[in-house]
Parts: sequence; structure tokens; C-alpha cells
Amino acid sequence: MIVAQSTRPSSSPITVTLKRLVDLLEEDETDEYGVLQPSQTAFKLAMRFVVEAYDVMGDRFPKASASTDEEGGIRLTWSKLEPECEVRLICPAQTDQPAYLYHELGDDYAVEREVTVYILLQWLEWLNQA
Amino acid sequence: MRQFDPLPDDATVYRALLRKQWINEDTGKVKADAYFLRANEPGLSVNLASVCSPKQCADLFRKCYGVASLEVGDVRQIGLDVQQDSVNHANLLGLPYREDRLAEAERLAGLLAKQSQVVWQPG
Repeated sequence: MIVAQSTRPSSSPITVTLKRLVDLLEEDETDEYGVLQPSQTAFKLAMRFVVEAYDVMGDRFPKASASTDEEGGIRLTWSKLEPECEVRLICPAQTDQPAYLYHELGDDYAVEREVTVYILLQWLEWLNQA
Repeated sequence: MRQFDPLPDDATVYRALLRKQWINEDTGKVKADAYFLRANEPGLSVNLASVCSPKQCADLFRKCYGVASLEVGDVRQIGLDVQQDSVNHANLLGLPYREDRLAEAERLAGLLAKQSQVVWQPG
């Protein structure tokens, strides 16, 4: 995060992604839908995935949209419009729930369980090359 | 409980976007996040456009960051259904729980998001 703040322009994909993740912490704890603020577990895991993926990808790291689910898990969505494809990384609220990654291109879609940074990197590179 | 006739395919329903994060900041499009079933939720809550304006739909909630419209026929084309249960309300039925069929839940949420048009946002 220090690297992002000190050397990256404020509009770079990694800076935007990190800012969006941090912004989640500023939300109310709950809303009408459920838990709104991310759990510590989800936040730490999402940050680790993003920072480690950026360490390898550098400027190829694409910008993600960040949100929380109703339990305080974090959902990171990487989208591409042409061709329309998406990678979603879900970091659950609790440590006893596994993270997973969903990817979709046209009618092809699947879920990767037991996600590692390596798996995230594979699918982000896939998104970049689609 | 009162029974209602099946909604026609050309009926429109509104989904209240209760979180600003449900709208992609970069594209302005609705994200899959808006279309997941929570535990013990039989269907997704929607309102009927025939009796409820987008603003009236939004006003049903404490905070609403947008209203998305869906065509019932489009929803049926992906194997789901919309069933009316009160004068102005319906449930979007057939979505799997993430706990049961994770990939399908993600897929269908994404398809519903693609079908969605944001028809109202707070000024």
C-alpha cells in the first residue's frame, strides 16, 4: 500500500482498487441488507490477494470493483466489456469459509475453489488477454 | 392468501439497489451482487412496474442507491420465474443458494445483472 501511495498516480488501477477496498471500511456496520462493513478476515485476505497479485503483475494489474456481501465478506469484480468477461474473487467473512474465484466468458463459466494468489494471477492474465 | 394470475412476459419488475456497491463505478451497470439469495430467502424481492414507479419502489427502503428494471420474459428465458404475491410485489424465484450450487448462483446473478437497466438513481 505504501508503494501505491508513494509512486503510483491516484488513478492507477492498483491505487483505485486499494482505495475501493479501504472505502469499504468507512461504511456503516450494517444496512437493511445485512452486514455492510467487511470483516477483518475478509479485508486482510482481500488485501493480501491484491497486493501479492500486483507485486507480480505490476502495471498489468486490472482495476477491480469492491463490495461486501451480506455477511461482511468481500467481493472483488474485474470486468471487461469487449469481449464481455468477468473474474470475481470472493473473500469470505469468516476464516472457516473458503475463498473462491468465479470466471466467465460467454457461456463458459466455472468456480475455482481453494484459491491461491497463483490462481488469481492466472485468471487476471486470462482476463487481460481475452 | 390471495392468488394472482401469472405475470405476462412483457411485465416489468423493479429491483431496489440497496447498496451503492451494486452498481459498477466504472461502467454504471448493475453488478451480480444485487442478485444473490440470502440464507432462508425464498426469492428475490421485486416490485411491479405496473403499479409502482421506480421512485416509489426506492421509497420503500431506508436507503436505496438505484432501481433496476427487469423484463419478466427475459427472466423466464434463463430458467427463472417471477411470481406476484401482493398488489405491488413479486418474488423472483428459481435462483439457487450459493451454499448449494455456487457456480450456477454466480452465473445466474450475473445474467440478471446483464438484463438489468438502471431506471432510477437518487439525484
